[in-house]
Amino acid sequence: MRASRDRPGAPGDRDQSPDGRTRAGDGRAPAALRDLPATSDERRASGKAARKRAGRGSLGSWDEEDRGHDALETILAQNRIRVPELVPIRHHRMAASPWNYYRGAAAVMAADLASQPHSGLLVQLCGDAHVLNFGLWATPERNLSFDLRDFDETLPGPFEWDVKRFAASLVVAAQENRIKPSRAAAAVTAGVEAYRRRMRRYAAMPELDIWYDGIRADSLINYFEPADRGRVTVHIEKKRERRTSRGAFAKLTSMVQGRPRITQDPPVRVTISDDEQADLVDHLLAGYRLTLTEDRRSLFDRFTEVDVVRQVVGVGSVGMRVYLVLLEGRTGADPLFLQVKQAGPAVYEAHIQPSRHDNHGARVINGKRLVQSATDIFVGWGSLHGRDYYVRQFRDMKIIPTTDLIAPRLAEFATACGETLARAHARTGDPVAIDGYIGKGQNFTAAIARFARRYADQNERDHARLVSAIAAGAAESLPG
Amino acid sequence: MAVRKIAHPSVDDRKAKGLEARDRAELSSHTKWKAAADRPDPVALLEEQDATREPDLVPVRHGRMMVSPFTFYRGAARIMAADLAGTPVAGLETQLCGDAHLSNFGAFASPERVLLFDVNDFDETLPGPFEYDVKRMAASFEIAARNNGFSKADAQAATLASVRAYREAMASFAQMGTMDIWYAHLDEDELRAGIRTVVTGAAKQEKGAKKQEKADKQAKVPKKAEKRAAKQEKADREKEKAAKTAGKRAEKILAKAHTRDSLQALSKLGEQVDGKYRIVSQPPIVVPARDLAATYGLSPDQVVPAIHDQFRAYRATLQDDRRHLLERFEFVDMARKVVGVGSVGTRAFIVLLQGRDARDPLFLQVKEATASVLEPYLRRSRYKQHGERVVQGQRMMQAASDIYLGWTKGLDVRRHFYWRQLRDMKGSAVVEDMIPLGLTYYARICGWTLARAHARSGDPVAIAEYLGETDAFDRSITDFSQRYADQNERDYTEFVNAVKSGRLRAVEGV
Repeated sequence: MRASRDRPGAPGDRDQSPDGRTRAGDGRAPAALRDLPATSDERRASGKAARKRAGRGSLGSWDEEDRGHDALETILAQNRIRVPELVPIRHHRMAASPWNYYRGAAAVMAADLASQPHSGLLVQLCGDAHVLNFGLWATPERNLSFDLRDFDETLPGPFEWDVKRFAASLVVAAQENRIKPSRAAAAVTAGVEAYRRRMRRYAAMPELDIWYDGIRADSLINYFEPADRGRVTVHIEKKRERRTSRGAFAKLTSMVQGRPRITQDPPVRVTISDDEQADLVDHLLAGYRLTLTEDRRSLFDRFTEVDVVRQVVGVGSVGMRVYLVLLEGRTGADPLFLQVKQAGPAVYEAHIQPSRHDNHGARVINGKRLVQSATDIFVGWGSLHGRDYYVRQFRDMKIIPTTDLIAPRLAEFATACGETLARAHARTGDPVAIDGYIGKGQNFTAAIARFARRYADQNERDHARLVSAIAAGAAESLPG
Repeated sequence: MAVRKIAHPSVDDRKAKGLEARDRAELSSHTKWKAAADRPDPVALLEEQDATREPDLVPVRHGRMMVSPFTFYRGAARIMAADLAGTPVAGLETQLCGDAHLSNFGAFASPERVLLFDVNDFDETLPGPFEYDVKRMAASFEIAARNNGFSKADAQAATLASVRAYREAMASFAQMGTMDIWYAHLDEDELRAGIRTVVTGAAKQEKGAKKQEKADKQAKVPKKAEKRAAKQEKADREKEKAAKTAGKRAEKILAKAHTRDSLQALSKLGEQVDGKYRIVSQPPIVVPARDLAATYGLSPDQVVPAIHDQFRAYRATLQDDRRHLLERFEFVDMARKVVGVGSVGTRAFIVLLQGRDARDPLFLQVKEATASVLEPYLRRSRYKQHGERVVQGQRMMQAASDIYLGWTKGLDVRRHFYWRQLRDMKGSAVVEDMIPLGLTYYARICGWTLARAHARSGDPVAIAEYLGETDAFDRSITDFSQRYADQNERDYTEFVNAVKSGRLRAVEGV
């Protein structure tokens, strides 16, 4: 059982803690019993000292010459562990626009970020904090929470990497929606300033208050102009009702010989053979089941697997194996959808340190729990034929924004995202040190904004290269 | 890997199972409870429990149980387990609380910082017949009502209300989807709304009476009737006033729960010495580690490493992200602290931790778990570690649980412990202050909550089918409760006599 190899509390896991201030000392000693932690002053000083490793101004620089890798090769290298026939679909989706390219090119940006000096102030990174990876979803207590939502690339790393990927995404997304550069710049400033202000607040807050902090749907609405609030509320309510297992059941299934089956929609949803289905259920899901806490395992046992299809989702992750599993509860009309998604190494692992988890699915789920203020009750992991997977609920009132909805309100939305990112980082990193590093003035925000502009241009050039590579036949492309 | 084989019977099969259960235990079979001829000596059962407890605290336990038949009942889960063992059961199993008396329900903060009302004591949790919990809950209402000096009718109404709420809630869970049952909970807003409805309901009744009186006056009623009406009016007005007071008191408890956190606990339990916090010594209730070394035969320099070992073992039982959160706290001090009634004398400790600075405290409670009192009569727990039994049972039953639940073996590895937060907005009803109206409302929410807790692990369709749509089950359990309340009074007298005769030692008022 792969899951059991993730030894909880094993000596050594301390050393890789993303919490910068607990890394010293004997790996066997429980951290909470160490000598008094650094005082606030010392922590703040350590943040200021980090400017020696990477000055705030240097965060704004970008030079293509120093990136140390070839963007196109980096993209193609990722295809090795993917389903070969889906790779052309990935290229096709990424070639659609610079924005789509950006979403699919986390590996390129990881290499780019790693080519520059960084602060060394570690947090659990989301790893792919672009603006559309913020969204609403239902918590275990059925609140609607605004949070980060994609953790395929999560890993401990320097906090500014998430901030940079977030900031640049605002510029790229703005271009996609023909928003004036000045307004894109305003959104970047709003988002990064929100991050900075929030981090300053966390620097003064008790640990548990940080841990429990979060943004609910009702307070998210307050980020928008009063005139917009009605529209946003209606949008959320509509989606909330539709995007549930019952909604998905109505939309994605049909009755075949008295049994519900997930309908096909190649290449987005394709049937897999009964043997493959049985393999998935008997091995992958059986292993996954053991990664659930006992109470949730007993809940899971109230459901039976009914049907499994292979899915194609997203942009960057196209080609990774994704399955959609339909389960039925014990009463009629009681469906539950789980999504099983292949996980490889995080794109940052080649550049900083490998994950301490020996199952990539475990890395994703544990990172997700560290970053999110509350996490889906059905997350877990498993493996099959030497590949790792994680499992989560599909459409549990998940509401993902669309660019056309947020584009006219980019600064407002960026503010909510910036605060959320700060909260995510304060949970695992040291908010006092980060606040000390960022400081009071505009230096940090201005540098990040400069980087975001330059990197958006770089992204455009990289996108153009992919497009011409496809035209030249160097990369396959197929609509889907 | 073993392929899991889990039966998934149809709804009709499950209903049939519920109906068949009536052959094993008719609804009326729960009535007419009588003590078994070979019933063990209740005092002896308590003595048996005392044997494994901290000797200096055993008299404190007795003292607390001596206060009234109600406090005696709270401490006598072991006795009732023996009595329940002989009662008829339908054979429908759920995860049991094992000690579902009314004071073991309460409010606490969920992981998403909402005040929830739920079952909150799982020392005796074990899978078993659902009736055991219902009976222990229902009898607790009868006993509490008597303790408050209620009329027979008022006591019966409260008891009946708890069972009826259980039955009706189970019927609604039988209709619900699997995930909807899992997510069902009772939060602060719903509680406040419920309390307000009850209070205004009482006021409406009073207004209705006034109208009637006006009409009577117009009809020129004789003087005698007028006098009676005036008397009635006065009584109604008092009732309304009492309802309002009770409502305010309930809302106050909810409001107060929000202030009950580690910082508040620190102001009560901590003191600053040389700029550092430590736990204040208040023997025998709170005895800090520095004074405990002698009790456990450890030298002071052995105590600290021993605590560190315990703490490390506890950390390992937490979910990855919560372990990470705990690492942000450092150990400051620990103490033995007496809690509850029935569990007094089992080892219970508090641990003071500190986060970013001295103003960021976190108190954890470490409580000894022994075998469930139900284990001799049902089966042994499948958990070798009783602390784990408690935590897993709690997670199975509660809508949401404390993020800091964990378990360890003690220094003496035969002793098992579970860990939780000491004060996380915990609030409990003051049953002794309740008027009949309030107790009946409280009975309804306890009944609903117990049904929800059972529906998570048991089969709500089968149980609801067994319970049926009439009040036969409610009346049956109420009859049991009245008889058991009588028995409890007899046991209480025997217990008090045992103290008087010197067989048991008791210290009162501690």
